[in-house]
Amino acid sequence: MKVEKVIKAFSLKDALDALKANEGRAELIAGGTDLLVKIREKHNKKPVIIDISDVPECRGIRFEADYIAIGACAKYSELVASDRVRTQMPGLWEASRSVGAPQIRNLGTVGGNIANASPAADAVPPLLAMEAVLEIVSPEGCRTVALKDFFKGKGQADLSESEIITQIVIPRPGSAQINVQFEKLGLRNALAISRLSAAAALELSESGIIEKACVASGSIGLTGMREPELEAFLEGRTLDEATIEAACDLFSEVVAKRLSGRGTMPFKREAVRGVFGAALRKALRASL
Amino acid sequence: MITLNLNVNGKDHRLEIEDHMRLLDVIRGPLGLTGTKEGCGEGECGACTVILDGNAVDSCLVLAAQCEGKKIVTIEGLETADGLDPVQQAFLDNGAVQCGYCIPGMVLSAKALLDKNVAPDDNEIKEAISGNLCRCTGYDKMVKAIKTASEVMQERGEQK
Amino acid sequence: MSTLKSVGQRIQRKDARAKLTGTALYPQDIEMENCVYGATVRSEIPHGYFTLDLTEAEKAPGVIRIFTAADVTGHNVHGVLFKDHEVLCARKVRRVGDPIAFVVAETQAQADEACALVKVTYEALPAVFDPKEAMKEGAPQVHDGKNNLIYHYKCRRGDVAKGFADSAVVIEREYISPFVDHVFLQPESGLAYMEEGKVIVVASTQYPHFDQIEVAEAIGWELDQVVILNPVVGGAFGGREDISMQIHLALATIALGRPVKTTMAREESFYAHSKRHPVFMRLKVGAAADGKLLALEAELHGDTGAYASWAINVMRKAGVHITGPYEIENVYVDSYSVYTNNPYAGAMRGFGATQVPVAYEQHMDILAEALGMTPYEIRMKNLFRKGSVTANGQVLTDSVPLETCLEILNQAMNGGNEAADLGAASSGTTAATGAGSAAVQERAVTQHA
Repeated sequence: MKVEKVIKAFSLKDALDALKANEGRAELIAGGTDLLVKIREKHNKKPVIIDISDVPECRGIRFEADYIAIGACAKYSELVASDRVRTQMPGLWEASRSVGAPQIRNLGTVGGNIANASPAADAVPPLLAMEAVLEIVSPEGCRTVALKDFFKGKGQADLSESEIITQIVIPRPGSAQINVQFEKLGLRNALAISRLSAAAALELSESGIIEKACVASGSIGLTGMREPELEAFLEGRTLDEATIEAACDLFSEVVAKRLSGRGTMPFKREAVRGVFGAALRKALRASL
Repeated sequence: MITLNLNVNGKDHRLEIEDHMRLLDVIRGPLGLTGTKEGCGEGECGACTVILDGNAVDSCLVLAAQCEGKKIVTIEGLETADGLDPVQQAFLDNGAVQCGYCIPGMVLSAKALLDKNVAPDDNEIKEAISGNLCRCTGYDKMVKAIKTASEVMQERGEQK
Repeated sequence: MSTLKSVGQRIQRKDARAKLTGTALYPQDIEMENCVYGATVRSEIPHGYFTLDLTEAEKAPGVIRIFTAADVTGHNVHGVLFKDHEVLCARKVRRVGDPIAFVVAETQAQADEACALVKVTYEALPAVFDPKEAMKEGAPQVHDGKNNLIYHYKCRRGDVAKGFADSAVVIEREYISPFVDHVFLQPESGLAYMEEGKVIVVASTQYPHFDQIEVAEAIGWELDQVVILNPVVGGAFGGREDISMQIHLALATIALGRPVKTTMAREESFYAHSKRHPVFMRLKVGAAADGKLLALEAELHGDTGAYASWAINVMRKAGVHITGPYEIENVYVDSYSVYTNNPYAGAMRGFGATQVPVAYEQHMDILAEALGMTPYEIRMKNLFRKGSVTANGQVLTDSVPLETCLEILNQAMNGGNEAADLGAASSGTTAATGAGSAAVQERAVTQHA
């Protein structure tokens, strides 16, 4: 569909007013790294585009006592440039670094990635593992939704046409660093869509026992998702090589079942061992 | 139609453009700056790279209307009355140019890096150009050229 | 040796400055006054008859004229060896991407939109996508009245039956080297305009002289009335050896009296130009217990797709190079070029010699393993030296430094320990790599067909 009108919003109010004035005919753009490709392929659905990339209420990364808030329009390059993101949420930092290439990271936003509900979105597994919550605003009001409940299917999100994701909020467990780790498998080092990714956020006792485990995957299924079987398996066990091996075996079984009948299954059931194992080993190293 | 105010290579422009135009289209069309190239139209090759408010971006992925009030640097903006930019000169001296189609984008990615980090290591250089595909050179001489430019800039005391 | 003016000196490439400052002009960068723009309608099926309905497209905003096969004023053909391409397909398409019509409008956007309005009705024909299948009796005929097999190279030397009988080990395997695209970074683009009664075509090309002949014959003009201007070429690697839009542009500018320009988007570029020939290789090699190669039998099928382009030269080169740089007394090689309804294959760096090492080099390693030798040992035993005679009878009288190269590599990678597995040592030094590629180039030069 031909783009007829582009409205640049300079505040959240601008954006909401534009959405209301163009009800049913508008969609949002932030980084545009997905939308411009859709437009080129003539798969975009609305004639009016509202640019929220410079809306201040959607920008910035805030580190508060009880939570970290990432603006939905924070660019991936901003996360990569942040020392605090790197030290406090290493898995999210690594995922951000792995997105596309510098030019893509200088445009693409975390919120945009989430809103598109791509099963391969790199930031999603670590955010899921950190139990992130989305703040969503519309002309009618605001609401929150847990990221794990946000994806309805491939490319389908719990987000109406008049809603804007403003913040991604990560509850802190109280410690300075969240031991969240991430590993991605792509066809090459840059400009590579994730073929398979995994994230794990672990809380360990003094003696190295996993008290809480949040595990999430990307590109294994229609959406990025939590992996409750892996979480149940890990909780209560000591984080060591034996546990890691056993967890990888389990994940392989999970993938084999989930992707049964699909051409990618034989490859992914093997690849997930390497990917998940790498993430867990990073978690082990970080805990020492 | 939209009225767009842009600063391109240090000069202010006020343009009447169609809403659907990409930044790339405005640069190559109304602005007549054909140094910026289209290689794929989907942000996979980097041939359309320009520097937008100090950051390297694929201009094929940006709607022109999003750039209201922003500063853009294209390849034409590098050479000054004093001569070629250190990156351009280094590419010339190190034999890093073959067919030339990737060059404007490649040079700007390098420049964006050096303007922020004047002494990058090899990995940082490679990461900075990881979004620029070259089908001719194999990248080696480009990495060498960027190192050369870095040394020249450090000597001149060019820091941000 | 006295200092030479250029050799050994650091020379600045003369067009690099223009490329570095953004002033070098590729065809897409050139704008002309009063210019109109073209877009090509291309086949969406691999094989079939078609009819066109232009009524809706002709009424589209800005459309000036739509050219079809009937508008070709000379011969509706082109091709670097066989004139088997049509400038615009007349009634049959042979591959996805075959050009059917050239739509010209006031703006590029209008031409692109009108292109989509051209109604093509296909009557699909059975298609063939495998060269071995295409050679069989009863296979769909890609070019009416012509055998799908268009070239057969043979090499016969000695007695392979005896060679195999005398061998301690005989290894037979099949290998496949796939289609590859050049993906030169600059998508195709060109313009044409009239000047003093001559037609001027501006396009990035590898063969301005061929283009001149092809354009002249297709439009039916004298050679000296056609001028080809080759501006900057944004990479080619063999992919700009065939005609792309040169003839379409010439026809249009002559008919309309205005400059005509067309530029391909990346997707169209993939459909439009040639590919590297996929080659299906069956290789059977026998060796004595001491590693000496005694016999080689090979059957190579090159899939040239819907058009021949350089199929003959490519599969001849493949047939010559399948022995690798190794002395073998008994050789029996058949190399075939075959039409299919796949994308057409043509020139791409290596040109037949690139595909076959996939077979013969792996084969050497497999033979070595079977004989209990190292990959290094078996190669030293067999490789070409000065005085060697190749399978097709060339005597290598000049420098053949392959042995030296391999020795240097072995030294660098294994410390001269030939018993070590060459494959295990993954860290080569730059010096060794440099020596390696220099020797390979030199050998390729002496073997130049």
